[in-house]
Amino acid sequence: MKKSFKHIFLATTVVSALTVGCSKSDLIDLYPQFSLSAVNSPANMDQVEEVLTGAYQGFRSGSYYGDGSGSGFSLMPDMMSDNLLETNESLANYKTLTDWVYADDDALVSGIWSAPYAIIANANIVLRDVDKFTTTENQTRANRLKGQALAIRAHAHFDLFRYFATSYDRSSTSELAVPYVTEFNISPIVKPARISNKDFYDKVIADLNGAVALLGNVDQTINPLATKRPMIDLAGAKAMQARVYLYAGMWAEAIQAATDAIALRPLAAQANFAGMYNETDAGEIIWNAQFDASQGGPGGGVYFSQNNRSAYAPAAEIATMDGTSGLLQDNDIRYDAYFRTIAGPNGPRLVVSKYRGKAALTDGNANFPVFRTGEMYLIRAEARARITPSQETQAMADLNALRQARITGYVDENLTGAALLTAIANERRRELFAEGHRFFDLKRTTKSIVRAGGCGDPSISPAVCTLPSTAREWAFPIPFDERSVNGNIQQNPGY
Amino acid sequence: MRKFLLVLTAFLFYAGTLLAQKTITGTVTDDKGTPVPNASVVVRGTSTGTTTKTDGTYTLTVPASATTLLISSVGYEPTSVEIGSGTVVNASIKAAASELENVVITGYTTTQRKKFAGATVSVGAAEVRRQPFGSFDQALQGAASGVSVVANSGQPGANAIVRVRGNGSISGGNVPLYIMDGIEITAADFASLNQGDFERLEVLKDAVGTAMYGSRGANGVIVITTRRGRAGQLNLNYDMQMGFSKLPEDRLIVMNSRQKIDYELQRGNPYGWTPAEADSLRNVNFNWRDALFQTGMTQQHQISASGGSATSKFYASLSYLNQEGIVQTTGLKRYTARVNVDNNIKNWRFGVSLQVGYSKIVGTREGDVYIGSPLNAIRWSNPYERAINPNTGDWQTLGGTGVLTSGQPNAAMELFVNQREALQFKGVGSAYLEFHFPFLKGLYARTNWGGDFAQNEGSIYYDRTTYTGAQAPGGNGSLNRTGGRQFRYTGTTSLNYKQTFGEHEIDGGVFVEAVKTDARNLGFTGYGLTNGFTNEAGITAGNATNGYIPQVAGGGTQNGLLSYFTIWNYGFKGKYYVTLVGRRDGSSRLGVANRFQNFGSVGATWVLSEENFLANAGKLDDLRLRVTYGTTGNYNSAAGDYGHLPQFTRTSYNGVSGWAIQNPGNANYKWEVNKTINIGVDFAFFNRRFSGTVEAYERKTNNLYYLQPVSGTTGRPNVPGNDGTLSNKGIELTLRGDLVRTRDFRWTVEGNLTYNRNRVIAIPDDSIINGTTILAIGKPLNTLYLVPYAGVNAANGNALYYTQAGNLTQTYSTADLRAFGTSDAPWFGGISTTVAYMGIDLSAQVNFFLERDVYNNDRMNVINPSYFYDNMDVELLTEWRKPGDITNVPRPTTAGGNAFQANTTRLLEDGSFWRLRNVTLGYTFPTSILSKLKIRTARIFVQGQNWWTHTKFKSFDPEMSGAVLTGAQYPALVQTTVGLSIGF
Repeated sequence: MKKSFKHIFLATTVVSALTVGCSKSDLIDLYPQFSLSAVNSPANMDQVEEVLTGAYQGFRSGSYYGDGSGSGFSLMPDMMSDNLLETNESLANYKTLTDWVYADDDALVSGIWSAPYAIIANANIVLRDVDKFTTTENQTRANRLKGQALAIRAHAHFDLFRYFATSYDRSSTSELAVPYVTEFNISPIVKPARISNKDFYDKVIADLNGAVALLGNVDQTINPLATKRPMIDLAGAKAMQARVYLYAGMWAEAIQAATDAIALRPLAAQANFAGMYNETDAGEIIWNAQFDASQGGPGGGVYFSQNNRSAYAPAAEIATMDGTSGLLQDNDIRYDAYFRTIAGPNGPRLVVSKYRGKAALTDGNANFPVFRTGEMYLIRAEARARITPSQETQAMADLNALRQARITGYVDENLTGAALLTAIANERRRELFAEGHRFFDLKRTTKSIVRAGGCGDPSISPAVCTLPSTAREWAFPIPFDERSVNGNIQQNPGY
Repeated sequence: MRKFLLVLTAFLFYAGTLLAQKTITGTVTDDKGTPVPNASVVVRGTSTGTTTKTDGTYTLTVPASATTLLISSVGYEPTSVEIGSGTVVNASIKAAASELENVVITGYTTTQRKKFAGATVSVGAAEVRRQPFGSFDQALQGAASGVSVVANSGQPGANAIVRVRGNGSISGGNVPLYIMDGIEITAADFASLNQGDFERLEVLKDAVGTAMYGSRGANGVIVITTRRGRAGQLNLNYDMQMGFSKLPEDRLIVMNSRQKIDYELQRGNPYGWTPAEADSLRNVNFNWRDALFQTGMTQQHQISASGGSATSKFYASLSYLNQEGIVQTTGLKRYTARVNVDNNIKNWRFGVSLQVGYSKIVGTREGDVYIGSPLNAIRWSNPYERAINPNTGDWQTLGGTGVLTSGQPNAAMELFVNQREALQFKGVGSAYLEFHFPFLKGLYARTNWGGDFAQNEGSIYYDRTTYTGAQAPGGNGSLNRTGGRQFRYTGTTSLNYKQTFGEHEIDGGVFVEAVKTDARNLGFTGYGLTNGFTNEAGITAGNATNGYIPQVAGGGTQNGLLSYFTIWNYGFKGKYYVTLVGRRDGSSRLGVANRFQNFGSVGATWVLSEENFLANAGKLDDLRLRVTYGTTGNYNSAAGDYGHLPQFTRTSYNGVSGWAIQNPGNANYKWEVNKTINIGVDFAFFNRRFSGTVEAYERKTNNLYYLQPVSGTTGRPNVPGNDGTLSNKGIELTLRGDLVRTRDFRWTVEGNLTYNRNRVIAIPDDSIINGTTILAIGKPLNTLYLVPYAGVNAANGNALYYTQAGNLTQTYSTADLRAFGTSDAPWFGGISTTVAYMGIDLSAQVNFFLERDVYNNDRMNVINPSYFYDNMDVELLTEWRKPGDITNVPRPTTAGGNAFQANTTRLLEDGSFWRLRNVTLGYTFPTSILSKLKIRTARIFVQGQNWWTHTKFKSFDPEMSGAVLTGAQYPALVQTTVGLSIGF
């Protein structure tokens, strides 16, 4: 019997030794080593700033300013308009949008719906936590972070509004905008309804006012470099205000905000203009979405320079290979900065080369200029032309100043009334070509799209050529995915 | 001097026995009457014995006192015969295959099959061993009821998609647990394992079997036991196969040059061909399929040896497999070595199993819609363009780096100039130590520890002259290198007891188990490969001017499982058996408060044929009724290793590091639990010539791991949660019959049929649409959800659809989407037959999957009229052109509300298929010939895989998993090999 005890003792010892060898903490209490737990973070002001960086990163999304899922806010508004026409080099990836045949199950629309909200979520974490770590010593740093987060939140919401709202009417309490999200909460119980245009504008304007107030008193220069301006500073917040006020028809406020932005960032000299597109000169950039090495760029869907694929080409009414017809001609510095004639599989053609690469590279890695001073001149000109009483002389002066900066040998014009407004609209088409405006400008001014300059010719573009101003397609449908989990969200008319 | 004494004593002893002895002779045969050579013949209670000659005969001088001979041989059940008074003693021994069939190896326990209540299937290892697949799971197809095995790719080394009793999880894993010699091995990573070493494969399907694995058992368990040595003579075997594989028939037909040029001209001549150009291009007819595919050669060699004594046994093998793919350049090379050793000293048993394998896979992109995938090019590349410029002999490029006129890459360059390799070193080893307590018979302690280690290395080289290489930053090619290691250890320690008390049998144990996985990976992509080198030496250091700034990446993860469990079997009178399993598992993957969960099962077997009332039931040999019920968990959570935790992921913007919210987390994340009930009946008639099993089951998954979609306004698409219920109900039938069983001729037919009905019972949000499928209550998973296509309006050529009300409409609307069938075939099975005459055997296996719907996105890419710059389906030749045309293909233009719509039933196809999976014709040489050559056994055979397939599915191959055939399909190989097995 004594021997049995010895064996039992031995067995117990062996079993316990083997069991203890892998204790609960080794096996069960494991934590990620390659990601940051969000339970207790951000835990300090540095981490708050890192989350702000995370919010900026979202602008590179292929659905936002990047390439790959529609370039929703960089090039799609041009691809969907009369500025760019699909070619036979296209892989037809964006055809549902550019032929205006989207239904509510369109994957590109769904991406454009969610990409801004992903940015907003990170901005809301910053806004939730920044005050916790704010002291009197770091107040100006807190201002810098909070101001940017507010501006990002307003800007991303406003971009959503541009696609998904049926009307840009500032004061309507019946037209529906999009949900304005101010709280970070990822949960199935979050089912926001769309708010009215009026409420929506109120919130955008309030956030931008907050941003302007905070960014005026910061601890350091936000964009210190001479080649790029990747962060939103005071001029950026002012520029956002100017654009929002233009859409809202708040002319006086638009004039003021544009004037402030212009004061902070004057127009680029002709010599510095092209450098804004290949990161050699920050020029008059107010805010650019930054794409670093291997992070791609905005332009691949239009001209994929790596493989010389020109999927969308400038319409003939914009520019032609010889540079002597169309809105942009070879006496204009914008012509060389935006276009290039390159041989393709079926001979030479004019391609949109403004995003083909940095410095001398042609790998498609380029930044996207979200705001430039040129737009501020055009906003101010339009606001001055439309305000009551109208300030047409100043409006014409703005237009002339801009053209002087762009066109060699330009002689000042003197236009009034409808001719002035048309000139401003055409100048927007020139200045802001392939910078994400044309579709929204037509929508904002309730125009139809009539694609000319080759539309209908199968060797150039087999695309659909007209979109009446009354079509439902001016507003994207609220995506199917959203509607299936959010019973409170209202669909746009016609879908 | 001492030595002399010893010899003397021995001599005296021997002389003493010499006094009373006789010589007996006899023949040992198997149950078919074939002589068994090398069988051991020993007098019971002595060490006197001999072995049979090659003709099965023996001569042995035995003491007069000897009464019984013990006959044994490797692969046969030992038996004993009375010596009697004569001098001729013949014996018959039964093949041990029946012995193997009569036990269930669950990985923790080995139980006699008739006592085990669980639903299990044993797959014939011989079948798996023989088929030359780079990943052994491919050979399981059709072999077992309730086990759906679909080859998703013909790429040598690619794994199959294996499901046991349907999909039980929506967002979590559905992959079964693989156990090899008691330790967990990584599922679907088998390219470096040699199935030639497998002794048996057991599939545990219901709760009694799987509950032993608790939280890992929900999706079924596949238990692999490798070959062990047996006491007796040393055996040496050589197995060889050589053969070739070819491309299966293609049922998706694209246009030839003439058709394509004519189609382009009719569509407006997008490339502006002049009449002369068009005429010349019409005659090109370059076949991209022939340019990229080949007949691939396969060869396989294995040397194995086994043997040992009563106290020490071993098995060892070396193998080599070289399988070329049917896509040129692709293939698998594999080298493995294995040693299994078992020892037995006094009360101790210990052993080691160790396999090391090294494999190299040269692959190509597959399963995508990328234009840079050569497998897409065989569909899309225009037939009037060539891989090689006939004038220069160089790769054909037109209008850009590596591209053709259409802007599509020259697929031949993508395949031949670029390189894509995966290397793996894998080691799977385990060791056990067992101690049998001397003071209590049947009580023993056992500990089994092992590791599955894999070291992976990947290399993707894109040459700067190719389309993909030109896209690299800096535009001069790229080299992507990845490395990863994964190590998982499994340790199980138990105290077991097994004893019989009169009519009561008891067998069971208590166990502690630890499983931990640790994985790391790293990689980089370098650019500027300009000096001709395709490895790291080609990379140019980066700066802002050249754009060659390299990318680096890395990551890692860990997970662990700690379990305590007990398993008990009890039997009474050889008629009534009960199995009880209780298990408590803790996992690192769940919310802190929910990590531990109890699982358990109970099962009972009633051997009716042992009851008196069936004692006279004529030809009935066996009838058993089994019932089990139990719970299992799903270890493969939907949200990864740390899904319960909200996390930020590292990101950067403007050269500054940042954090972006990635995982919303869920502190209440808990186990997904399966409840399974199973009723089974086993029967055998006519001396077991006809036998079968019927199983009926219901498997209900509760607390489904579910990535619950949330409003896009939250910033993320979904949150991990546990909500909803899924049900799999089914019936499985296995039948086996020896239709003819004579001494020289045998004909056996076996078949299995499975019906599995999968239904979503409850989910938080009904009708969630995911691309072309819907997740809806009352429907199976992977239910296709499409607008019914109704043909073409002959008046204007517009596509027509059916509305919900059944009316025709020209307007596509998501309001008209409807649910159709599922891609998870509810009916599947296999039928096999073997005919053996003398030494010749012929066997065939046909597998089928029925009522399977698949969305053919591969075809979408050649019928979407927007893509007419590339090659198209011949179907488009019948496009609507003028009013009155009766056709099923609408006009190509979109104006007037006729946009091409992809989510319609025009692309819904019947993915059902019948397939002749394997045919083997073999010849086993008779021992009378072999004995002169001093060869123990020899067999030659020729076999074919996938020689015949019947399907309507428009593709190379209906075998693919999931609801959508995406594109770039690497079809399953049509393979023919000849083989030779020799044993010494």
